Amino acid sequence: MSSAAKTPVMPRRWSVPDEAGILGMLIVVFALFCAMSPNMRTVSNGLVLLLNGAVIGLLALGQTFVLLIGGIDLSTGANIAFMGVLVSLLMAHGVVWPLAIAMTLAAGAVMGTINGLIIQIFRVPPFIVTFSTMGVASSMALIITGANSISVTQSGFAVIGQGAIAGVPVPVVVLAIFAILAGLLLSKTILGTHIYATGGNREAARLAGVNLTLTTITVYAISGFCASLGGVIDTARLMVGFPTTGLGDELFFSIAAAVIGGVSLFGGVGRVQGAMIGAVLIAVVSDGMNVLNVSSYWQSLVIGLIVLVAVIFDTYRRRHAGTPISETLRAFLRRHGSRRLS
Amino acid sequence: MGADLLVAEGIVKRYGNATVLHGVTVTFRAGEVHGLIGHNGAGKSTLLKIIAGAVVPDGGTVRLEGQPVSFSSPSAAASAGVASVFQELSLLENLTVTQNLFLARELGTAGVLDKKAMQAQASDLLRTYGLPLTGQEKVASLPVAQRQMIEIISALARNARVILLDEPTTALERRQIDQLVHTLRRIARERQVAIVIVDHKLDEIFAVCDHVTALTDGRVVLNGPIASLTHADVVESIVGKDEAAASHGNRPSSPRLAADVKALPALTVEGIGAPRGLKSVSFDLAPGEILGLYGLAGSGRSRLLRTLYGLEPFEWGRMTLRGQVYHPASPRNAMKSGLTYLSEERKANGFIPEFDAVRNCMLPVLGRHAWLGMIRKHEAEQEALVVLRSLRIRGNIRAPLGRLSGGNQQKALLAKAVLQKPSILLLDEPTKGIDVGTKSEIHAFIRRMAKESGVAVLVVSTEEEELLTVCDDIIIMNGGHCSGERHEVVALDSGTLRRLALAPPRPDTRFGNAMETVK
Repeated sequence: MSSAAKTPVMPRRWSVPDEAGILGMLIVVFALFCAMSPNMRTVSNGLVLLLNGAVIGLLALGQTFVLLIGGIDLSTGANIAFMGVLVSLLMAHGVVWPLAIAMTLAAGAVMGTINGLIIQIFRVPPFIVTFSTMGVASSMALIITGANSISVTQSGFAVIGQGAIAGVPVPVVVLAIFAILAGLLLSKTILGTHIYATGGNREAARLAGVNLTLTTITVYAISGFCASLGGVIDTARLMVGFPTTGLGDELFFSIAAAVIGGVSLFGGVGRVQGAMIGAVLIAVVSDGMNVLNVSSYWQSLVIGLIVLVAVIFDTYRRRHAGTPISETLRAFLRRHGSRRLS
Repeated sequence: MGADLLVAEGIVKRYGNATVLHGVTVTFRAGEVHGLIGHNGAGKSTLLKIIAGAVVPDGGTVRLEGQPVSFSSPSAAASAGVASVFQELSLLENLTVTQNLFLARELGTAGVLDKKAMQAQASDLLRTYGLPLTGQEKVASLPVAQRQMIEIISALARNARVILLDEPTTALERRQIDQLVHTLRRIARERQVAIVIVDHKLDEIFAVCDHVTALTDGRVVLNGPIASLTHADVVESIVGKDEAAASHGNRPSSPRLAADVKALPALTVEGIGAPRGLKSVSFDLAPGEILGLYGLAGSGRSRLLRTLYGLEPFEWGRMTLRGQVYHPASPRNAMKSGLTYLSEERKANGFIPEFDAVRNCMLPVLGRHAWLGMIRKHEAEQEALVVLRSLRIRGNIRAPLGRLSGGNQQKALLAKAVLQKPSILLLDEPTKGIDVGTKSEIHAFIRRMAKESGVAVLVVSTEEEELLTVCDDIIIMNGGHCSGERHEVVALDSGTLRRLALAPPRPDTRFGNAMETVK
């Protein structure tokens, strides 16, 4: 004790980052696919893989913010469809494409803000609120288009989905930029600290003066923004706004990526780096199975199993906070090995 | 007098080095209501929990109808006939009264419910004990008083022989209390069960009990039929006679500054209250003073602190902070006005468990170390570290705070409070569950803070000794009332404190006036 008190600056002990495990898993999985197929080992395949994963990555980014305060955003996939057709409709009505993008991104943030407001003001569980707005958004996509796909004629818009900077697809660049911004926001700003505090112990955060309303609304707005960016990119890749994109696996994969990457479903724990590794892992599994000609029906099954393992791990980490994994496992065996019927 | 139903003999319980029960012996008889009374921390609740099977004793035996028993859990005790009705009611709110009464012992054949039979039995029971219910009501829709009765009836329906009640009247109103007292006496007589009540209110003890046992510091100091006792006997036994001499050891060495007395009060509270909350609380708090607030469980101590910090509303009365009207709508509001609060529930709402001590301390003051929302981390950490070091936290302050010991957590929370540079500090049980050494460090720190920085400190504690050690003056809360009358610690001992807290609340004239000013 006395030595610690005298030391002028207590150095932070270097420790293995929480994401090391999942990064290792990503490398192993990637290596396995590469070993099985030479097509996997090409740079062009790598870029395609990242391009296909970019939208999932963006959704996972938004989802990470929401999960960090202990919430969930189920409307994110439906928002892709809504925002994807919104941007194409705006352009069809003569709005120049950069302005159309800006308006769509603002609309996405507004959708998220509405989620946050309802959750915070009416104290409705986020699961229910975003479940409802998921229905609203997917319906809106159909209503405003009459269920027709909307072609984009402004060719400049294509750069968002099909362009490349130094060989790297624009969507991947966009994701990288926003991931870095998100990481900085979480680690360097007051808002970031308040997000972790809210998810760590909501009541303690409130007593410490954290503005829960502002924090909650902001994270859902960020998630809505990320979803609209995903919608814009999806539309730009095909140059068509489909009212039914984003209604497939996107929501599932977005939550999966964050959870696999160590973002806790209980809030307060997790980082952008982890969520991004999770998104890449999902992209690798999808792409690898394509390359190996495995039926795409298997994709969700495999990812579902990975999520299950991640969530079980998360639950045990939470219950045995602070104990090493070996001890956690031992506790698990003690509890379940010798349980008697009562 | 009925037969001995349950006898607890020579019960000993230790927590660490502290012995909570020193060989306590009590006998509960069939057909009797038995009152357990004592000061805060006298061991009543521990004794009750041991009998109910929730706590394992370190010594002694419990005999039920002559047979030695050792319950592994409250449910084991319940199936043996010892039922507990504690503060946290155990009914399932989403089910009906009947479903609750028959929970896990539903009538029926081959898994098909016999609803008719259950309904008939339930309404029989309800009618017998004067509850105006059919049994079809959802428990969620019932008031607390009825829920409590349903728990008691449910225990009877499960053939309970001994029923343990922990402060059953705290949530009830006068009329409901009378009714409960009446019903309890009837149940004891008619069903020949033993009813055990922990209660702080002497009037109730005398109204409902046949027999009373008083505990002080883990020992039985009084045990006898109520008919042979007076109020004074009971109070005297709890308060003790030679307490006065014992508690003068740790008097604060730095006496109050003469200037304190003249200083403008930092906070003036005049008759604040709210429906179903505080009745009427008044007091002044001066800069640089440490004011203690003492009261028995349920007197509204913690609620007062929560009200001052904007966590609970008040509807009448007024507060003035340095001459300005003060009516906090939220903790953020209160913080901006210079108040800081350390809650009693350290684990539940004191800190963010995943954050380390430094980050927890920084949380409320990040705004001071940021530009456009971006934190100047090094600067913020240095400020936090200076205060944290002065508190000599043992253990890694870079580890998640949830992993540190209670004493170190509390030190970190005090550091967090200091960093906010408050003018008023509200402390609820500042050393709850903390070892003796750390305790005195914290006491010294609180006194330093008040005397050197002029912070006005309001301390709530159930430990008389703590208040006598750390405070300048003490005010008493009783049943939601506080007159603001100060008692200098120099003239106090823990016996006197207990006596003051046990006295029935005085009719408060301010209360009526305050009500009128609201209109």
